[in-house]
Amino acid sequence: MAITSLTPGSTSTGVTGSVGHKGLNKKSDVLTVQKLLNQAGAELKPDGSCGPATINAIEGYQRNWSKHPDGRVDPGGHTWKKLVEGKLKLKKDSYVMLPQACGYGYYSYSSMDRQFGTSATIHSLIQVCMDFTAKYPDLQVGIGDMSFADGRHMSPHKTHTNGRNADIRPFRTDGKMTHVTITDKEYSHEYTKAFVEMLRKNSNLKSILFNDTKISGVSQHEGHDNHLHVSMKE
Amino acid sequence: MASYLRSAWNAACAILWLLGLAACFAQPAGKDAPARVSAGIEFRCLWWSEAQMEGLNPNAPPPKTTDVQIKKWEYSDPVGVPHPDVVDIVVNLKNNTAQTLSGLEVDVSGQWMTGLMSKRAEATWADPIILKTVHDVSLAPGSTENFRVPVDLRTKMTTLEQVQKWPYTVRAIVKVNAPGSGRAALVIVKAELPITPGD
Repeated sequence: MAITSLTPGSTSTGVTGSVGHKGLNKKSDVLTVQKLLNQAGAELKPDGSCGPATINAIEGYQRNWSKHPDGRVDPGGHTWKKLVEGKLKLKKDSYVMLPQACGYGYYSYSSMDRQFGTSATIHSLIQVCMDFTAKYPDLQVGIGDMSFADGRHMSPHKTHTNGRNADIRPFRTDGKMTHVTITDKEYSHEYTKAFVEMLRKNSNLKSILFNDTKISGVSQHEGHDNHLHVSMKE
Repeated sequence: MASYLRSAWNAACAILWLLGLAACFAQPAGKDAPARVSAGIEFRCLWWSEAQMEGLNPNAPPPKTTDVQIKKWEYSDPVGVPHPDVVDIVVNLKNNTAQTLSGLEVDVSGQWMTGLMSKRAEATWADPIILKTVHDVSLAPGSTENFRVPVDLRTKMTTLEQVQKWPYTVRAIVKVNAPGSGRAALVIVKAELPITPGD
């Protein structure tokens, strides 16, 4: 039977099933875990429903000891014991999420949990995208992976941990919101060049890796025929 | 005497049958002559179709239902370039003769080249591991047969990443053995799938 009222450090009978990512997520168990997470610093609405916010909070809590949190609390497991022990606090997100709403001149082609960055990086990207689509209203900038909220390793990338990197798709002649490679006939050198020029005007830009050698200001690097790897200073 | 002759006759028949079987499976002597049985390897996976990729919502992606061949695993575009968690080694066998070939045994092995993420040049090959053995394969004259052997790339990557390593290549090795106690290799083919992480 799940406990419904908990005090950190108290003895508990535990949850009856797993809570979180791929968990059983029985309502009473989720409620118990949400209350414990809130005691650790989360700001969850204790409703017994296990959504992304609850899973993110579990992961944030697990980051106290794990670089690869699984986002799940198992009955009698390590995370459960730590939650009941009540000594650890939630590791708060350190980066901000790229706004997922429309209207900023870009679209996302990576999941939202992989689109966090420093405030300065987010601000710079939005500014460049808005400037670009003001000039080319039929085009949208495709933004892919950036960083996780806490800057942990983003598999299978080597970088993308500092909140200052963003992968951006080159542009297509047909304006479709899908992938393109510089050798494809749909690839638009002109649009991509124009976007790079706008990026380079942004004072926060550090470097761009991309393999269209006819565009100034980009550096060639293996595997960059289908995306621009943009690095910001801050 | 009659029984002696019968035994000798049976023995002679058995020897002739074995010689015939050996001739049937033996590789042709000519350098350019086709093998009796040939084998091919492809790496395939399920991925999104081109239509699905356009404007795909990465937070609620549709199921991947399109069977595609991949020549490399590459994480350079989360949607547009296939980088499946599981890749299938697809083995294609063909009987190039006008006779039925039966009793074939097919070994499918996997071999990993792994190394530190920071030192690609120092990656090394591990020993091959048999992933699957298919027994008693029969091929009608001129017919083809294919089967799939899944390879869990995601688990391999996750395991290696914990020690800052990466699986740079997986090699598939297919060995088709003749029937009989000797199990002589009729055909051995290999194929490699380069695996490239993101920057």
